[in-house]
Amino acid sequence: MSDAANTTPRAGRSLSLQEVTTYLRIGKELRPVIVRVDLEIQPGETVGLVGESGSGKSMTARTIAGVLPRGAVSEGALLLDGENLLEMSPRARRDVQAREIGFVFQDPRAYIDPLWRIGDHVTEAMRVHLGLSRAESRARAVELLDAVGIDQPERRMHQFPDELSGGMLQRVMIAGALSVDPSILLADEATTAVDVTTQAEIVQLLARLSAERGLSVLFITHDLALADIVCSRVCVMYAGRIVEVREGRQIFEDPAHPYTIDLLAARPTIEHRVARLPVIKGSPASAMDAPEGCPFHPRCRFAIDECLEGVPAMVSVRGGSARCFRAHEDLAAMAREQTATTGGDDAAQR
Amino acid sequence: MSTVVGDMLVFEHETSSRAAGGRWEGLFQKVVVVTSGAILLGIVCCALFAPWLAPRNPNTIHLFNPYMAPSHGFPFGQDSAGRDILSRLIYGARLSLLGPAIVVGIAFVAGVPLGFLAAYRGGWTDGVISRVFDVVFAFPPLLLAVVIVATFGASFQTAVVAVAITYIPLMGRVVRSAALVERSKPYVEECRLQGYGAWRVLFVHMMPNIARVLISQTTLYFAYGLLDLSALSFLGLGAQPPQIDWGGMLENANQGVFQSATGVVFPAVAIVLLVVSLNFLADWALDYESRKAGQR
Amino acid sequence: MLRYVASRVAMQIAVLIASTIIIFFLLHLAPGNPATLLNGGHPPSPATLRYFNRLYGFNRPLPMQYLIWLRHLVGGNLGISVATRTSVASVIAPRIGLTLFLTIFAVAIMVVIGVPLGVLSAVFRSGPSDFLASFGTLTFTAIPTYVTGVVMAVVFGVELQWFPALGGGDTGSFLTRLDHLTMPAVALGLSSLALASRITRSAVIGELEKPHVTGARARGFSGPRVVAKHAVRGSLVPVVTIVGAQIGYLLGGAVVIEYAFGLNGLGSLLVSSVQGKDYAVVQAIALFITAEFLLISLVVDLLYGVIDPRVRLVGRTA
Repeated sequence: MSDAANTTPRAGRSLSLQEVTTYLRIGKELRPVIVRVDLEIQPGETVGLVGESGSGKSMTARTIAGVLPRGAVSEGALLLDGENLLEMSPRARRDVQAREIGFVFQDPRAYIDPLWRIGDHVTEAMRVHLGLSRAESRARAVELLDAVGIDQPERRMHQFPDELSGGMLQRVMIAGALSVDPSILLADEATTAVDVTTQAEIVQLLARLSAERGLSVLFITHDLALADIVCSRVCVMYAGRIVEVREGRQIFEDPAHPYTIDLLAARPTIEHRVARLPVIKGSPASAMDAPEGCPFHPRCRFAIDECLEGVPAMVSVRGGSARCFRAHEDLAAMAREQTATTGGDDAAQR
Repeated sequence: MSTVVGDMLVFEHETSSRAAGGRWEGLFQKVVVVTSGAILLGIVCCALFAPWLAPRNPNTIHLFNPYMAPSHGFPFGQDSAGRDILSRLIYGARLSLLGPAIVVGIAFVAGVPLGFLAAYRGGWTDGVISRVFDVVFAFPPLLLAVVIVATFGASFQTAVVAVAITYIPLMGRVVRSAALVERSKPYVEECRLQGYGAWRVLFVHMMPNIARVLISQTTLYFAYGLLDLSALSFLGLGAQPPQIDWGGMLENANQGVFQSATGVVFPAVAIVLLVVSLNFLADWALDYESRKAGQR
Repeated sequence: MLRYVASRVAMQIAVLIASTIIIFFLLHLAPGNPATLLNGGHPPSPATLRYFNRLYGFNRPLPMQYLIWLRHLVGGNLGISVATRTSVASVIAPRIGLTLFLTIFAVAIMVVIGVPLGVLSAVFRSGPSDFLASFGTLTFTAIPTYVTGVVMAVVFGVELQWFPALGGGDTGSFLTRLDHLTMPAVALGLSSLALASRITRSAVIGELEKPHVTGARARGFSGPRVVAKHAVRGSLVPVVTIVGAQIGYLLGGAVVIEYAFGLNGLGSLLVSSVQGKDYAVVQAIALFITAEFLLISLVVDLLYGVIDPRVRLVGRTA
């Protein structure tokens, strides 16, 4: 699999969200879906954004890409190398978005026009935004399809989405997103709709492409372990807010926020037995129906009185930050002790 | 090519209400629905109570006063033979309502079982029934009705049967589509596993789900059936004198349009009011049903 | 693709043949002797009867009669018109032009005005105007064509004198024709226009809500491009269906409009032939218009194959 089109990694661009809040228009009202989000992606970095459904992670991506539903409003600063996208005219913003931001969606079969041939889909952006001729764009498209690991790229160019498998279509979507050589790639649950083997392949593909092209990637997923594979930094989101940001593997080895701790504990692992898989009681809240105070407090096992009074600020903790009044305590260790005492007897009996 | 206007209207309604969040909320809309209902009721009353409501005998001829504009004794004017238009309008409600009712009745009685049979049995039965429908669809509807009337002679009965024939496949097609959708749902499989017979499955279980579509279809076909029947009457191929219906009145007035334009207005307005009211009511019924279903 | 075309053509031919069988059999289903029916309702004289027997083979078994009739049909022999005592073909031929003109004009009005109107109203939709739009189009769909026709004839033809109220401009140039046929065509096409624009609107709204449109927006394409290239294409299937269906209604409605406006087309001939019991002419016109309709249906079917390639791909896998 060669990549003749672009071998020299170019200087990537940085993306920064500062106090970004997005409201959706529901009926006649505006309801928030993400609240005062701060997010940084350095050039060439892959940052993970993890959360359950309703956490606002997809909405964050859509805010960056400018594809929110009708009537939605965004506040704050969305800086691409210092330029605030939210303050640009719609036209200018669309130009920037078209050439600098690539988006890979979750369900390729729904997000690729079923009536267009693969070749037309991949070349469309090149022809419209880069002004390439039909021949030039088709040549590049073939190279791109090859680079994302699709076999027989020339033949695939003439086929319709119906004729390709989900995994292949996901690669096509990636190829399409990369066709204009963007500096930022937003991957929204890009691996959720495919099987586990293909998931690993796609994640590795993204990592390789990012290294080769100097792409900054925002990798959105609900699967913390997946984020671990490819992200240099992971942000955890809950109820529309960022609740924890940590570098590298620290989010696994030393989680600080109770939500992160519970998320990790809830995953089945072969490393040790548990009598019962711990489940976070209650159901995930979205920004719209978050309670007063810390949004997680109704489900948090470490909640104290202070948690009902106000939303905690992000405090820096052990190389990262977490939005919790008790972030400085070693809550992870406390959690482990709790599990040991309640589940320990059962474990000993096996 | 299947030509199901009814299917289209259901699809259209659903997409449209999703986009606007329901079409029949709001004061203006409620006024429209109530007015439509009132108009329909009024017309039905005219039909039922014609002898008491009409000021004159609708068939009394005054040959020396053709095409007169509204005057003291004749509030809506007189037609080509000097007959009172108002009385004719009131009496005309009878056939104008009866005709479409029979059309819809025949279409329902023939179309629903056929459509259901095609969906439920599938395979060869479906093939034959659908092909028959396709052949009827091959003819432009009014043309087929005209040819049938030409063959069997022009009268109210032939016109009604002719138009009904063009609606049977429409109704059948709609029922078939709806039944096919229901058939693939798990509860039908369960019924069959339990050993219920086909008719029981239809009436007890599938019908309530298909009913929503059927109700609005029936109302629409009533309206379109009226249009088709009055078109035939307009061509002189429907109800023959001394029978009175609005299409015939319009044709009569059309002959003398240079002398008196008012004769055209009244039957036209009557037909339009009835059809428009029916359309609104059908749309509202669909909306009401889907809102109820959504809330369930 | 070729396989698809071939199968659709074969299908339509089969339906065409079936419809000729129906038209043929109607003659025999009628009360009374078919010869009487063909003779304008009067029992035929012995000479006429012999003529009919020779032409149609009334003394032969029914399937044989059908084949004979069919053979005449293909050869252009449509029988004799009772009213004029000349061949049916010669009576029909001069009128075809006007009816075709009228019908095409009405279809053009429906498609060229109705569909873009639907697209625009889908793109610029907002709460209150939605109900008004459907209120308006619902009303127009409900008004029968001949009512519109008569009202227009009175208002624009007689009172305002914008258009000629009568006649089809048969002897004039193309422009004269256009002038004379504008009102009838508008009257004919108006309710179809309303319906087509409603369906187009909802189809486009449906497409605009689909994920692949969001995908196109995410790739930074401008609004008009997204609508035109990604939304409209997907919405075409229901739109083409409704246009095709409406053409059927238009073909029937043309009969009524011609009668209402006193135009010398096939439609008014049909009506006068029915009233005058000139059955051979009725048969011939019915066949002609049905064949026309089937041809249009075939074109629509083929259009589906062009619009939605998935239709062609039934049975093929990666």
